[in-house]
Amino acid sequence: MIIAVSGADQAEFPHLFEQSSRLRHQVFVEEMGWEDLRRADGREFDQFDDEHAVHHFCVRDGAVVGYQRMLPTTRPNLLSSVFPELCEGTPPCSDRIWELTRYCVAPEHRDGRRGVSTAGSELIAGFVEWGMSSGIDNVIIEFEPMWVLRAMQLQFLARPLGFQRKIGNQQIVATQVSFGQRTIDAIRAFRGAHAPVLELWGRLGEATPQALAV
Amino acid sequence: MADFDETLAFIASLDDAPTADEVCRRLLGLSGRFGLTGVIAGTMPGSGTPPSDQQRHILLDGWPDGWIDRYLQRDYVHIDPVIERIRTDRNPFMWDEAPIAPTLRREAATMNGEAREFGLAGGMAVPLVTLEGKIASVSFGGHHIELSPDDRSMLALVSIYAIGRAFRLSRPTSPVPTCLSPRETEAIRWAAIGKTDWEISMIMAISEHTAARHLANAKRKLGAANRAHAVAEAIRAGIVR
Repeated sequence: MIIAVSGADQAEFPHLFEQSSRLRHQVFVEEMGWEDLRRADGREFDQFDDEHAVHHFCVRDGAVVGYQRMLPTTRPNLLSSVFPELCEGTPPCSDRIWELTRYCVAPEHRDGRRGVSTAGSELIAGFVEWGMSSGIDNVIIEFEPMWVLRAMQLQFLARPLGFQRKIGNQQIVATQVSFGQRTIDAIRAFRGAHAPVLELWGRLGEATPQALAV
Repeated sequence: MADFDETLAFIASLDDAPTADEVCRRLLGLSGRFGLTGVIAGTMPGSGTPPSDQQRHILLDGWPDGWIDRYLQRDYVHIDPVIERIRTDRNPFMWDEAPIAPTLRREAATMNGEAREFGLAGGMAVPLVTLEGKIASVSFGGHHIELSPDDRSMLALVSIYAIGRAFRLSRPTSPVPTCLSPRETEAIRWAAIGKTDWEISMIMAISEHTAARHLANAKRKLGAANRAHAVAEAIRAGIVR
């Protein structure tokens, strides 16, 4: 199950945010070596964790085992403010385009070996369902170039926003991917699971109570 | 410095390439500027995979004529240091940056010498991992290579889009089964029980030349290299039981 929560509702769901901030620290600081994000308390958050962000939690037996954060491109985001060198032209800015950041899966749930794990593909299904029920059909992502191949395998239409560059110890390329019914069909076929995975909690659910008929 | 708009236009052009051969042709049109006149892309067969099956893993086939046959026949996949590095590295590299295992030094030298005769003195490999966790790669080769670090980045990026397009073309959304005509099907069924062209022509009451043509068509449609391979593919496809 993927639970989507607005950043404005952080106080309502303290357990989800507490666990995801620890998972983020574990993956991005301890594992990937993004030292500027290191904090003594082992919880990672940044200037974009405000009321405009939408957080997606992959939950198993009450524990957060995967996570991603969606940021509107109509406001400052990672590509426009932190990694402008990854973008050749003007960074995208539209209600229909959001930025996906901090995609991560807890090490003990990486059952995909080198490929994409069950939790990892559930997160992908989650953001596509969320987008399709929210009038969003494009996301921009800064990821390793091999994800372009995986996105194409899942019927996303991908376009680079710039050339890849080395960030930390990884090559990263900013990419815009657009999606639709074909994409969610391909993701579900890959997962071998056809039921929707997304639940909207807090104010997101109140705004669109039955919007999940994707 | 590579031009981004041009790169973007190239990537967009791959979307309407109708066949893997056309993807390959367009990719070579770009890489040729840097002296990279050959390209091959596909998923990595596991070690111990017989040569006949290795061929099935190829998605883009733009190697010089004869090299892939030689390579598979001599089982170079188990010697090639580039293959070994593709399995362990996540970043593009030049062939001469792939370390040669000391125990394989002599075989690798022989292989490199032969590759050079085919116009593949050096090259660049782009390792990838598919959604399912399979190792894949795009490898470019040529005789006289001039490739700046920026060119490497640009070429690595477009090559991922090219293999992505080839994947899509190799697995259409609704799978199209291999479609043999009734005559071709009959001919391959007789071939599968060991009949010669002449015997098939007698059984089907057609000329020997026509029997051979039916089999040649079946072979082409099945993507097979020879008669035995065509029979094996026909069995896999359920045409021959």
